[in-house]
Formats: sequence, C-alpha cells, structure tokens
Amino acid sequence: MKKTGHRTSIRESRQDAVFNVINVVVMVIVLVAILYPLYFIVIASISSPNAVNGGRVLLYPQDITFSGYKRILEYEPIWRGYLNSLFYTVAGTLLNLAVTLPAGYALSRKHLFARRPLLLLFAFTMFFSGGMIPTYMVVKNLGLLNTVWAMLLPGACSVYNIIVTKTFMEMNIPAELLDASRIDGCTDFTTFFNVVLPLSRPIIAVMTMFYAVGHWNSYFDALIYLDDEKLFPLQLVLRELLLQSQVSGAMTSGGMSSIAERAVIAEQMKYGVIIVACIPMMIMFPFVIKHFKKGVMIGSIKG
Amino acid sequence: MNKIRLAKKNIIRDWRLYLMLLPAFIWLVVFCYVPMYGILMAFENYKPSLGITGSEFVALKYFKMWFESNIFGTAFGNTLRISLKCLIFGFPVPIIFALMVNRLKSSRFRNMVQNITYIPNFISMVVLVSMMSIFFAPNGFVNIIAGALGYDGIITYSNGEQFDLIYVLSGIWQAMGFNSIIFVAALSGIDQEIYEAARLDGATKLKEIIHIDIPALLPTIMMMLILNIGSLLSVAHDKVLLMQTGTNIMQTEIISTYVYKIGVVNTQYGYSTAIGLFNAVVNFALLLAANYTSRRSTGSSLF
Repeated sequence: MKKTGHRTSIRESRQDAVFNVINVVVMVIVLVAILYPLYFIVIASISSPNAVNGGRVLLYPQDITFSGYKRILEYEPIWRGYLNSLFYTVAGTLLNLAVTLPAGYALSRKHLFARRPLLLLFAFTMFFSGGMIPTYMVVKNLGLLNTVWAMLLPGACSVYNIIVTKTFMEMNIPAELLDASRIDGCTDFTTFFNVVLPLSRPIIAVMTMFYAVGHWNSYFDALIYLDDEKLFPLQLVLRELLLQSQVSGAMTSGGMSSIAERAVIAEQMKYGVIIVACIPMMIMFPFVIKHFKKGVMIGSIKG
Repeated sequence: MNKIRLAKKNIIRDWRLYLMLLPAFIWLVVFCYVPMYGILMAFENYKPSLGITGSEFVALKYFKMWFESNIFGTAFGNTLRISLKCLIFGFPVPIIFALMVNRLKSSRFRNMVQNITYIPNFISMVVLVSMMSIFFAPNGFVNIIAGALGYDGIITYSNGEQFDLIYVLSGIWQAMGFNSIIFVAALSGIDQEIYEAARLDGATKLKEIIHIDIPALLPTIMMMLILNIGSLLSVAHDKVLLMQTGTNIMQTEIISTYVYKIGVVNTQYGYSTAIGLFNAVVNFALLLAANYTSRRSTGSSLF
C-alpha cells in the first residue's frame, strides 16, 4: 500500500466513495430495523390469528381479516380507557400550559426580586427529589387517590419545562419590547397576553407536544394512584390486557379465571389494539416532527 | 433598612409577576418540597394515622434492615448492572449515528432517516413492551428468524440471561434518534472553512470525522455523560416493571421496582422511603462526582 504523490488524491477519493457506500448501507439497515417491527404489527393486525401464530406472516398480510378490529370495537374497557386518556391528555396539557407559561415569563424577567434564589429552588428539584413513596403519601394525604385529580395535579408542571420556557423567552423576546409596552401602559398581565404569548408560539407548540405525548404515554402514575378501573387510562388498560398474563401470582389484581379470559381476548386483538393506541400519536406526528428538533435544541441550552 | 424598603417596593411593583409564578410555586412546594419533608418517614415507624410528627422515631433501623436484607445485593447489583450496560452500549450509539447521518450527501435522505428514527421515541412503554412480548414469543418473528439462522432455543426477555441484551437493544431502538438530535445540531454548527482546509490538506472523510467532528462534539458528549452518570441508579422503572416476569425476577428486580412493591403494594412506607432515599443519595453523589471529574479533566461541567 505505497502512496505515490499524484495518486494520493485518487486513492483517497476512492476511500471516500467506500465510506459513502458503507454509510448509506448502514443507514438503510437502521431504517429497516426501525420500521420492520412497526410494519409487522400492521400486517399482523389484519391477518388471521392462525397465520400469525403459525409464523406465516413475515413480509405481507395473510388471510386478511378485520376481526381483530371488530373485537376491539366491541371491547368496552378499551374505549373507556381511550376516552379517559383523551381527557387526561387534553385537560392535563391545558393545565400544564396554564402553569408553565406564566411561570416561565415571570422567571424570565431579570429585575424580579429574589429571582436567583427562586430559580435555584426550582432547579434543585431536578437533581434531588423526595422519591416515589413520599410523593405518593402527599397525594394520599390530600385525598386525591383514585380521583381524576391524581392524574392532573402531581404532574401539573415540570421544572425542566419551566426553565426551557424561561430560557426561550429570555432569548427571543427583546427586553426593549417589554419596556416599551410598559411605557405604553401595559401591566405585566396585558404584556404577557398581548406581547409575550404571540411571540412565544414556537415554545408553546413545543411544550404542548412534550406534555401531551407524556400524558398520553404514561401509565405509572395511574398504576400507583388509581384503583378504580373506570378511571384507568388506555395505557393501563393495555397493560392489564397484554402484559398482565406474564406477571406472577402476587402482582395480579384479578382471579385466575379473569386472567385466562383476558388472555383469550388479548390473543384475538393484541395487534390491532397496539395500532389503535398509537393513532393519536400518528395524527400528531407531522406536527410533532416540525417542532421536535427545535424543542430539544431549546432544552439543551443551559438556563 | 434601605435595602429592605427597596425589596418591598420591588415586590409590590411586580406583584403581578409573583402572582403568575404562584401556581407553579404552590405546585413546587406541595409536590416537590413537601415530599422532601416526607423523607423523614425513612427514620420513623410511620403510621399514617399518627403523621410524620407523631410517629415513633426509629433512627437508622430501616437502613440497617435494607443493607442486611437479601434483596439489597440483588437489587443494587441489578440496578448497577442494567444501567452500566445501558450507558456503555447505549451512550455511544447516538453519537456514532449522528456522525454518520451528518455525512449523508443527500439532504432529503438525511431528513428522512432522521424523521424515521424519531418515531419509536413516541411509542409508549406499554406499547413497546407489548410489542416485544409479541416479537419474542416462541412463534414471534425474532425466534423464527433466529431459528432459520440455526439458533436452537428461544430468545425471550423472560429468560434472565437474555434480559439485559433485549433491554439495552430495545432502549437503543427507541431512543437513538431522539438522543442524536443534540449531536447532529452540534455538528451542523461547525465552520465549513475548517473542512475546506482539511480537504486541501488531503484529509479523507474518516479523518475529518476523527480530527474535526469528534473534537467538536466533545463538550456536548461530556455534558450528556455527566447527566447520564448522575442518573445511573434511576433505571427506567416503568419499563423494567413491565418487562418483569416470574422467571426473570432475580435478574430484573431493581431498587425502584422494589420500592414500588413494598411501598405502594405492601404499604411499608418507612422502609420503602429509606430505600428510595438511599437510591437518591447515591445518584446525587454520582452526579457531583461526575461533574467534578469532568470539570477537572475537560473543563466542561453542568454547574
């Protein structure tokens, strides 16, 4: 492998060509690895359960049937869970925004007295917290257990998101503009609604997305705070339906017969139910993609 | 005296800002700082009817109990093992991915690859684990493909030996795209003139990556590394809990799932709070240590 002067550039551009080919090949493998599991669920959901269980469904659907979806339509807990999740997501996100945006604005004002200690008080909780059980006790002592409030209040805001919002407002809303609106007779309230919010559309979109995705996808709060199946969000219903059968004795809530029953139902509709659970995310995805990168970037700037 | 009067004047002037901060502040106190006060339960034979001030003080009894219990070694070891594997194998992948994506020539292909790799991030834990329970079933496509390749045996996360691999890989599948965003953004900020100079000197793409891209990423890498080390003991309990089965429990019982079980399910509040506190303190110490080491060795740190 001797290198001679004038051939170096040719050899190296050949190296670059090899690099490019390898790069594209690896990327295609990555795409297949990400998309195939999703594609599999889609084709399995419209194939006959026998074909899927026999391992015959790998590349395209077999014996197409929509019986799984029909069963889902008839299975009430899923729809109740769906409605609950929609409610928790919409109400929870609205509450999140109502708490986060004003707090972010207040903390972004540099002349606010005691601003630094307040910020420290907020930031400290990102690194140290009381933990699961003390938080659970607070919810319990407030009488929130087994109410919809347990799904809304403990997650009413996130310190991280407040700080991201604050940072965005500091960087994107010129202080001169705020001073000018004050001189024009605006109070902090009117400034917030008429000047700050219209200029904060990108961060509002990002926050809406982060909070809404979080509400829709979470199950753990519901698991520890809720007992009443009528209040269960979709994720918890899915867990009971699809995963409960794998959990051993002490952890299960129902008796053996209901587990066996569930297993039969689950077998018939487990693929379709996964698709149905992802529909809101799929609808949101184009919107989400638009704001997603921006959101992560704003978040990565130190506050 | 003058200072106090000035502060008073400022607070009165900005009362609207404080009012806007109030909901977030109340939330912070009730759901972050009151639970921190609740940590006292760790030192008490806590009875809900007696409250924190009325319950019997037992000093370090529960910590002693925890360190002497059989589960301590298992849960602590599992927590460390799982999170170290996630860190060692999961941390470099988004960086390598970002370096490769950054080198794709076609910007349309680049955007497509990035957008597709974000999709799994929006899939909920329940759905992810449900999908895995389907794929790793004896007749799931993973085992069909493994069988075709000559592997006799069944790959499943119910097997404690195989749990780690499946846990780490599924974590990479889900978070690679999301975690790469910050690195891709850092790469796009590199001055193009540096590349031109390197090309004049005859650098290949691989050399550019090693001598330009990676050094440029180093501050970001260090920052993410500190954050990751600081949360070494906070393995995603929601995911592990879903993946626990009767057969893999010895390899999958981690501190936080154990806290959930003895705290929420068995209502041993004092003991579970003590274990949670142990977890939080170790985490906080790790964060400080990582931050300190990074500041001394590379100059970049979180605080």
